[in-house]
Amino acid sequence: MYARSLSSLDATRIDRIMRLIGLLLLVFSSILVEPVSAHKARTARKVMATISPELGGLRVDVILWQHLAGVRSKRVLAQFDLDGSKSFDKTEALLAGNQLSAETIGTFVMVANGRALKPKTARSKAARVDAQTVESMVLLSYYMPKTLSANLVFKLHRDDKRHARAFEVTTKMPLVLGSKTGPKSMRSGLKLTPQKPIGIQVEVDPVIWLRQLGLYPF
Amino acid sequence: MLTFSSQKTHLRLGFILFLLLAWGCEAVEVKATAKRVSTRTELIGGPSALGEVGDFILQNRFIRAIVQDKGFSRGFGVHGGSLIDIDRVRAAEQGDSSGGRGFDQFGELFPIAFLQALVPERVEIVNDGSDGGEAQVRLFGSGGDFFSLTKALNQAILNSHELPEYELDALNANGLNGSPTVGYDVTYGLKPDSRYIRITVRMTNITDKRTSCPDGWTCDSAKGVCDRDAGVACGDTTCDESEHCVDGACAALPLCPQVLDIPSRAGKLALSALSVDAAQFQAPLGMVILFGAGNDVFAPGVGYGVRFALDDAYLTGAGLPFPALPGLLTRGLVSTSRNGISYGLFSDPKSKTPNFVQNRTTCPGGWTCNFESKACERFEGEECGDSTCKATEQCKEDQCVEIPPCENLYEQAYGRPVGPDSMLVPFLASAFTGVFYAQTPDRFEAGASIEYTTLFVVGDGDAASVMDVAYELQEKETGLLAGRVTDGFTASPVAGASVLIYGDEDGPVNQFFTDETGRFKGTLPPGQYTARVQHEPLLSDPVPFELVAGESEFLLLAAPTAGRVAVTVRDQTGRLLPAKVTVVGITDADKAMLHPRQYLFDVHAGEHWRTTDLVPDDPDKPETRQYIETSDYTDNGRVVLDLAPNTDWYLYISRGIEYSVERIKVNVDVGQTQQVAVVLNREVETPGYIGADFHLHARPSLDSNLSLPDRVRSVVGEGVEVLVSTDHNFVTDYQPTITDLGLQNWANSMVGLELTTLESGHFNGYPLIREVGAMTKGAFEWSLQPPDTIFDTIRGMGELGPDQTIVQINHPRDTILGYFEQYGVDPLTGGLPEPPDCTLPLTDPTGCIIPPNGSAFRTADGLSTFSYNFNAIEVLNASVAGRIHHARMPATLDGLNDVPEDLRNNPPEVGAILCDGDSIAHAGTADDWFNMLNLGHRYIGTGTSDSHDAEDHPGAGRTFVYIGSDDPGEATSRVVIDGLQSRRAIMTTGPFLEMTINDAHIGSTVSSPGGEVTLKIKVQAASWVDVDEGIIWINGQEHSRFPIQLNEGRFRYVETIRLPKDSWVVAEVRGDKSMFPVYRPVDLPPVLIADAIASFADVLGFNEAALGDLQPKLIGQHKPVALTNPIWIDIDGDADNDGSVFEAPGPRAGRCEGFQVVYEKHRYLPGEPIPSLIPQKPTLTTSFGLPRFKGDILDVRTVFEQFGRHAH
Repeated sequence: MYARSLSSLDATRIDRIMRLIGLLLLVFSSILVEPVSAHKARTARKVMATISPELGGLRVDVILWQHLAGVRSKRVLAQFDLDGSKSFDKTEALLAGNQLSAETIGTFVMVANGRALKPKTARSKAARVDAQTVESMVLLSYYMPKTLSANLVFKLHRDDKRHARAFEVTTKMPLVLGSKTGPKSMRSGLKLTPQKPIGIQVEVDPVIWLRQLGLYPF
Repeated sequence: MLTFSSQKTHLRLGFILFLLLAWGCEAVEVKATAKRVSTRTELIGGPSALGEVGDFILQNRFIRAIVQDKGFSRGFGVHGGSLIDIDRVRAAEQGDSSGGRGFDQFGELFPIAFLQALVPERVEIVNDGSDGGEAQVRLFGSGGDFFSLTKALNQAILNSHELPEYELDALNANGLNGSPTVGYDVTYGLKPDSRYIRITVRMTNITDKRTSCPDGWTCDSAKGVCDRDAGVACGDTTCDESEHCVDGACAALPLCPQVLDIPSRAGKLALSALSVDAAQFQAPLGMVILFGAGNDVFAPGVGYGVRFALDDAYLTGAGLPFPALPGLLTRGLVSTSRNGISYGLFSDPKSKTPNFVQNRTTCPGGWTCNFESKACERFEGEECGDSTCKATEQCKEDQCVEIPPCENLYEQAYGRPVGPDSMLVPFLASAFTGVFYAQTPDRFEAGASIEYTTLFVVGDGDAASVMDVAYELQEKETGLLAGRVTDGFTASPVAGASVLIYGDEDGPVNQFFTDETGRFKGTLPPGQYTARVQHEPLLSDPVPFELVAGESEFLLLAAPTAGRVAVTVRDQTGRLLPAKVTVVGITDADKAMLHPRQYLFDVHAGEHWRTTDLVPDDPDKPETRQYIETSDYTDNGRVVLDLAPNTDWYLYISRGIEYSVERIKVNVDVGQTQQVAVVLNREVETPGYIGADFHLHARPSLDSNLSLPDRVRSVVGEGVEVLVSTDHNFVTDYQPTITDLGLQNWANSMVGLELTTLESGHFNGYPLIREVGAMTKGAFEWSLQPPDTIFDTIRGMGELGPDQTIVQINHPRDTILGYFEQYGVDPLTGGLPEPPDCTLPLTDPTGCIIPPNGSAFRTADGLSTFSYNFNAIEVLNASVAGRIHHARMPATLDGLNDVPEDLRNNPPEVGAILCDGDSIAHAGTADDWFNMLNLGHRYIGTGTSDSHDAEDHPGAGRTFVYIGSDDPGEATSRVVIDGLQSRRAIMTTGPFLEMTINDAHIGSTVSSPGGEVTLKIKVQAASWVDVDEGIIWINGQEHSRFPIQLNEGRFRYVETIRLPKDSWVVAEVRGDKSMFPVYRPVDLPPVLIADAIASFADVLGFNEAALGDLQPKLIGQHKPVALTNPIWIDIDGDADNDGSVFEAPGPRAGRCEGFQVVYEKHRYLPGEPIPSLIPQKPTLTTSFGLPRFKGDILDVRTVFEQFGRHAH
């Protein structure tokens, strides 16, 4: 029967295609797996970015995170634990975050298509991890209208003497990182240093886009 | 007395007279003519005739054809300009004011490019034939939507319209409003002595009509825009490269002639994303043909049963590499009928455009196959290192490498030779058959044209009369075959027998009908053949013969002889009853694993389908191996059936669900007649109710071949008392037929219509006025009309006025034919979704790229045109009776092999509505109806058969309407409509179900301030109808479920219910036993229009997610089920003081979690906006860099929000 034949066709083709895709995924995943040591490494400062499509443009959200320990941490705890509760409530977390935000951001700049962008919004928070440790985080949100592709450069000023920052970037469908910044160049992990800015290319991937539309078979 | 000499004199005179006459005849010039129809007497007429004054008629001494004027199609298609009527020239055919008197039974034929039809802008006579040449009518137009949901795909593939510069925009259907870049003209030509219409379709790149660029600009012919190197200052700004300055403001660049890539850039992007080599892709071109159900489609080498051959072709061609679309390969598509008219569609092998089938080869993209040398070639050699490659070589690593010889992909897959006249049939759905044979070029220079030619032949009823012409056109050598068929028992000539000619292929290559003297005659190419005679219900053994070119062969064939059974049916009082006789056979025990199609009957020889009981076959249990051999109806209590002799047959005599069924075993000898007499008893009492079927089709519908007498006979034989004619886009009246058959005491009728759109849904209207004179008797144009306009127009046709006209939504969830499905009615709430946000990038692709679009669906502001302004919902349609409710989790997964592993490991609650991803897996109409009752709508629920044939399921769905009388004669339109509007109506396939609450009947609004009500259920069923379970639905939720055990066909149930708030109550009963053989199972799934689209889409990888064996089946047994209309109960005494006694509960809110719907406790009030119930989940795709932060959390905004929550 006709309808049955289409189903049979699906099964035959899809099974074969899925096996192929499965194999490809296996290969890719083996490429993407990072060294075990990377998981164990404790990084004191991180930059993470998520790039999303929004209202026909690009939205880039960046968090900068830092981990404070030792004397500085104790001082911050003492300064902002206003009620002596040994923890930060919401207000205390915001106040501490504000205090630490400039330090957390440091000399970080995002350059889009050759121009340094100002964030549309900036939010900050701090949190007490334990008696010895405080973490702070800043969320910077950038927006570029009427485009779905951009060359982005994340950089620190060359005079920034502090430690390098671990870097991670994520894109949302249908955006992908361009081929030059794809899996191969990033598989060992990236570090953002004053000497080495990180440049990425963001674009629309037709495959992912069509998959999002339900028009892609895999 | 004449002497010898006087005889000679007379002979001489006679000879001279003959010469004079012959000379005189030669002087009469025979011409073909083309003219515009100015009076109805010039029309062709016939059961499928659609021609009208203002159309164009082509005629010669053999055939007549009508091409519709521009506008909307009067047929099933969308646009005018189609070939809509065609017939042989017949004696005494002069028409009158009502139209012609010919016998057109053809549907419609129009060109198609990929899935794009064409919109005619003008139709004109190019040559009226007065010069003795080919008379020609030509239409001019551009590509247009056939199915609006393929608009984006068509434009991307065909590059037929100006596309937005941003190439991904090209797939956003709502943004596609560009002017055409490709023009079409179609020429219908008829020569003076031909028996075919020659149809030449020409596609032209019309961008050469654009003006040239201003001085200083250059034309970028790839984009078709004028360009220059740098931007220009314009007022306060500078225009970028895509703009120029007009009156101080930047404006889009002027257009200029464009070289069109096919596919377009967007199309190539899409194809490359699908891993398809765009260089190898050429879009197929051909025709869509709607033969009409009165014609049996026949393909040479396949015979009848083209649908099954297509089915097999999809299985065989599963490995075909794209872009070789799978489908049936043929050298022609013919239709036959016993009404003296047959048609044939052939590709002209002399077409200038390459054949799509022949050119699907193993050659790389950009290369063509030399069919003689079998070499892949291209016209220019390629520079390669220090040398230049030959035309048959390819450059690889600076070395010229010979391309392997080309092979045809279809020949590889199907093992059948192809040629320049090969045709591909990728879909055959509803009445639509797609036939492709030409292809687009890779590039289309401005002003350039391509054309392909189709030959449409008219024959005398059989395939042979069409093939005679085809062989001549194909310049094939032939011999003459003649013969005679006589009865194998009596040796008397057999008229109307079908003689099938078999060659090397599995199916017949040709077919003849015998005339009144049993004779047949026609041509065949030379070769070895066999002949078989098909004379219902039997098929003879093959007789071999050989035919030599230029010689003749005479066959004397014997038709096999049947036995005969004559049945008389009466009721207890001795009255002869309208009834049905169904003949059941038992399949062979040793073939239990095979489908009867494989050995019991031969659809390719034209034998009718035998429906099985759909019970798993057991070689030791004959009762599991039943099939229906045939069935027939009587309007006068007498049925005569021809049966295969010396075989055990079981006759089931029935008269619908209110009567008993008698079973009798018979076995008749060759040529003998056995008499059978039975009495049927009425077993179900339905006082005050009449059984009505509000959805019936007959021959005026393109997809039905049932005559009006057979239609009426079949429905009255099932005991239905009110027949509502609802043909597709045709207003029919059964009353004259009921009167002619003398059935006035058994049945009454109402005039109705199934307004049939291609994509917006099917809507019944009744009772209507049948317009006298108009071709479609009042049916109207629906294309691009929003539902409200359609509903208002239907009501404007009402016999009793708009307020007394029922607008009924038919099969609302039936894929592309379903109103609710197409407008996206939320199956959880009955509400409408928000308009899709189509800003880029698209977050709602199905709502933006492949949405049904146009003015029928969206207002200028982008809002949905969906209308709730209808009266009834076809809750129970016998065609889809197994899919009344939303798909729910069964009690067990045992026996279901194909179930998603996740679901099996984590099964939803039993009875929970199943989800597929974020949406309801399969929506059912009853739950939609419940949702709308919750919203406060009081739609009437109806049960119907939607029968198109005497042998599908007439009577298997009906509505009992209370009119206070059991006399069908009193069931006038007004009385029936009053009954329906009182909502005292019951939908059923078998049981008769009554319900009262506090003694108030169905359809009432009951006041019960205390909230405690007494519900009573009464069930009746005939002895052959099973009922074993009842369900009480309150406000759409299952309130209670109770077992039913019938006692002498009766059952009563009483329950006291405490209701906390205003509620509506519906009762449902069902049985698990099949109603075979009275109501035959659906063992052959319908092939829907959606399947036609899927035949392309599937190859491109479009696929629906599936729940495997949990999906509702398109095939299945008919089982008993009945639902009441609601009783509404007011508890709060109009607490809202809004004047409405009953306060509707409002929609339930819920969402898909895992594989099931989980409802929230909160309900929304009627009128309150329903929030989006199933929010989009953010989806992340790629992540590179350091180890992920906190497991799978990847969105930094989420990371930020969660930061510190668990801190100390």
